[in-house]
Amino acid sequence: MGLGDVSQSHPSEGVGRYCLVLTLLALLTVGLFITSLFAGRSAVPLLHLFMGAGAEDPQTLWLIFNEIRLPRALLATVVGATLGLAGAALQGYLRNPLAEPGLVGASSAAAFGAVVMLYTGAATWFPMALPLGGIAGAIVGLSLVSLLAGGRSGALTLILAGVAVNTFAAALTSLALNLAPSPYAALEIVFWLLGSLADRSFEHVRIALPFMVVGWFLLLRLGRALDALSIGEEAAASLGYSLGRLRGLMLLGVGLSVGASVAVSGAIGFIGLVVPHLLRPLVGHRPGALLPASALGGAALTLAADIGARVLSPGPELKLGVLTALIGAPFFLYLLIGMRRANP
Amino acid sequence: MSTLQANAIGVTLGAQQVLKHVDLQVKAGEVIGLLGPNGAGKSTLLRVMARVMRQHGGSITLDGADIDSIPRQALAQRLAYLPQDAECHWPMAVEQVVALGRLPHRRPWAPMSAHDWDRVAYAMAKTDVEQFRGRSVGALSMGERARVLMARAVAGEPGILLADEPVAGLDPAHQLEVMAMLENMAADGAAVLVVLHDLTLAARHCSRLALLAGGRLVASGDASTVLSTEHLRNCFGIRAMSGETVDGPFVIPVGRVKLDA
Amino acid sequence: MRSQRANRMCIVSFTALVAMGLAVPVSAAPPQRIVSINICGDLLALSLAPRARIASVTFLAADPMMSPIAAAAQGVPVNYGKAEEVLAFEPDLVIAGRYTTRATVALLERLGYPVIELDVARSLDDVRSQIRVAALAMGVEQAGEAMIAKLDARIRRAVSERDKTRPLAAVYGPNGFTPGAHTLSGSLIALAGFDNLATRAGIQTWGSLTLEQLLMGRPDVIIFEAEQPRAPALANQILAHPALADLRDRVTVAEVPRPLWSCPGPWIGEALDQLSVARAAAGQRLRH
Repeated sequence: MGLGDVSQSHPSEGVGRYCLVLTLLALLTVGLFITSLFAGRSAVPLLHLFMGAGAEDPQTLWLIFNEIRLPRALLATVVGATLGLAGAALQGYLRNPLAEPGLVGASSAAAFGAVVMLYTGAATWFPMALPLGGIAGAIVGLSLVSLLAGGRSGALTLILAGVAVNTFAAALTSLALNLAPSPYAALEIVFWLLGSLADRSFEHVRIALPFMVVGWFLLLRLGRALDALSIGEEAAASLGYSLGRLRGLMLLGVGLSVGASVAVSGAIGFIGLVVPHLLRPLVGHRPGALLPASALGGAALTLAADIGARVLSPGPELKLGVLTALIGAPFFLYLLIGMRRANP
Repeated sequence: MSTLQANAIGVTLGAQQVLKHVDLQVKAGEVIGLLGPNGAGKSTLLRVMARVMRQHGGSITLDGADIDSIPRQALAQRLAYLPQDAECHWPMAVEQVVALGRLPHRRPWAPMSAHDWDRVAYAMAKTDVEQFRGRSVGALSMGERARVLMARAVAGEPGILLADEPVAGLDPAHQLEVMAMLENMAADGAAVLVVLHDLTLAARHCSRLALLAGGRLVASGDASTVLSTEHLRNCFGIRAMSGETVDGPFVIPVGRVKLDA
Repeated sequence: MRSQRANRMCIVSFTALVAMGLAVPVSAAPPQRIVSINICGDLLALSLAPRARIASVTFLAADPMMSPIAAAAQGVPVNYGKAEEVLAFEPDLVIAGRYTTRATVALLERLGYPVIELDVARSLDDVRSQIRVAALAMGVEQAGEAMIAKLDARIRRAVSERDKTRPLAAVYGPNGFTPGAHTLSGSLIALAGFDNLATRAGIQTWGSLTLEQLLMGRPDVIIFEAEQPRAPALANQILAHPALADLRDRVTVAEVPRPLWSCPGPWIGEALDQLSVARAAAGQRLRH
């Protein structure tokens, strides 16, 4: 099941509805992408530039558009897509609606890996070292949580394992920043733990995107296995899916995409939690169908939050992670309360 | 036409040897009822035969070939396994759950074909869950959910079906329906191995019975051989009343028997 | 206005000295073991007082990233600003800064050590009065006046070389930090004959400009505060942004090492000279 599930001969309305959902999400993403290009203080001059209404100094405006606005919007899109997709994949695999890259320790461990690469200067000599550091961190963090919490764990064990890995990773990150040669390092922890897309360039897109795309490819292929997993591990195994291989692909897919994304944008939280949860009823609760929808939804939500970070503050920009936390933390509480009511 | 054969299977879980040197064969056209007291190792045997678990001793062959030599997906196309107490984690629509049974037959990225939906509809009809097709599986009762999962197993048109207590939560009418469906499947050429606790159902609908106790295969054959007074006393610790009616045999436990040391 | 502030500084610092229970008439023996726990204090001590009378300076004085006279600090015992280190040197004068850890300063004062505090210099007047205050405390008033005289001469020369153009300058540091008019850097920018983009953006002391604000402000000159060597940090990444690289072709770019204009001293004359060169270049560009 997944993108290709478009059988015309079956009278079920679900298929048409799924296409509609995906189309609407795609349109929303495109709309927000365009808005992001023009949001913020330089909005009016940029609009003039495009409407050919005699903008002064078009060269500077084009420079702003091409080197600042465009990479930022692109990065918001791909980072958001990664977080949404990884969140949906993790929730499907762990059969737990509370799973997301931030909560299961992937993001903070990735931040640690990236911090080590950046502040030791490794990334200065070899730019790819930055996303590779993030990827290594993410994979190690995920492996640890998966070791601690296992496949059939309840929500509590998973959260606890995630808390353990997150705390440890944050501590190591603080240590690394404290020991870093640059005097600015210690203050930059805010970026790594909250995330931001300000002043990113095409360089960041270039070093992170290849890994993200490979990660997406690995995760999108897991749709059917995740569907099969919903009737239990044994049944899924009997349907022909190797659980070991599934676990490996999950680790690699989430590790590559989330690791590269955190390396260039910091650890942006809650996108992977909120988006799959909101979209799941719209795709008939099928984990496989949720994957592409969640990717689009994640891109849209991140773009919206990034626009908000620029537009909502009269003074300097808000950090992106602050906005997503303001949306996500209450949502997380609401989820927990709902779960407690269902399983007292 | 398939034959699934377990040879000298031994399984150790933790410190305990759960299965000791068990031989069992399931042939096309047969419904084998696997009986035994709790903890005898029936579910474990099924798991091993479905390749969901590895055995520690012995081998499994499918049509003479070592089952491990068959690629996963090819095996999944021929063999369906219905575990006990299966869950349905996400509240998907019933027809989507049943459609999962078609996964081994579908090519990567290919949508559900008309034939696929056809088999799904057939499976739902056979297990009497058609009227639920669009409803969320989370809204069904346990028995209805069990039938949905049975439909999933059947939707794949398996040559071999291994079912672990498929009628456990069902009402009497549906118990009879499912057993009849299994018999029909066998008649159409499938090999069916089903774990049962209801002795009458086993006696009535299975072509052969196998009795597992303490990890060993104690008896195998027709109902009168396997469900003899002696076996009932030694393996189950019960006395039973048995007989023949126009619809078939019956075996009803009537009292406990103290097992000699 | 200017002399009022200078007077106020002198009165405050003299009162502070007296209040320390020092009761030091100007003619008493000058301090023999000067300990500085503030980088600006370090630099003034090293430039004004005889080497033998300096007991310790901070570790920053020998760091070329922070100190314009790093070589001069070699061999001087180093401290990290902690009270117990200070005590070990048995100072008879401690030079602190207004933003030195309050607890450390309070402890030293409570123990009876003479402490002078140097505020952050925000103008050339501040520079002069701080040199005077430090020189007075260290008993080297003449050296202080000589330093001020040389600096003034340099300033006069720079001012005389100004032409009528007032190009727009933006100082862009790590994290996009930029100084407004009410800072030492800002004062030097104004003195060199620039208009300051930060002022137009409403920044009075220190603030931050986004890359977009910098580009939209269309400065004629961008001044980067060069740090040698530059340790990797996100704060420095913005200085390597491709948008700025593109700008270098159209705008005059100057680099002034941060240590040259962070603390009062003769080196700010060097900073001023570098700014004058940049302004001359920008002025030429504007005329063509």
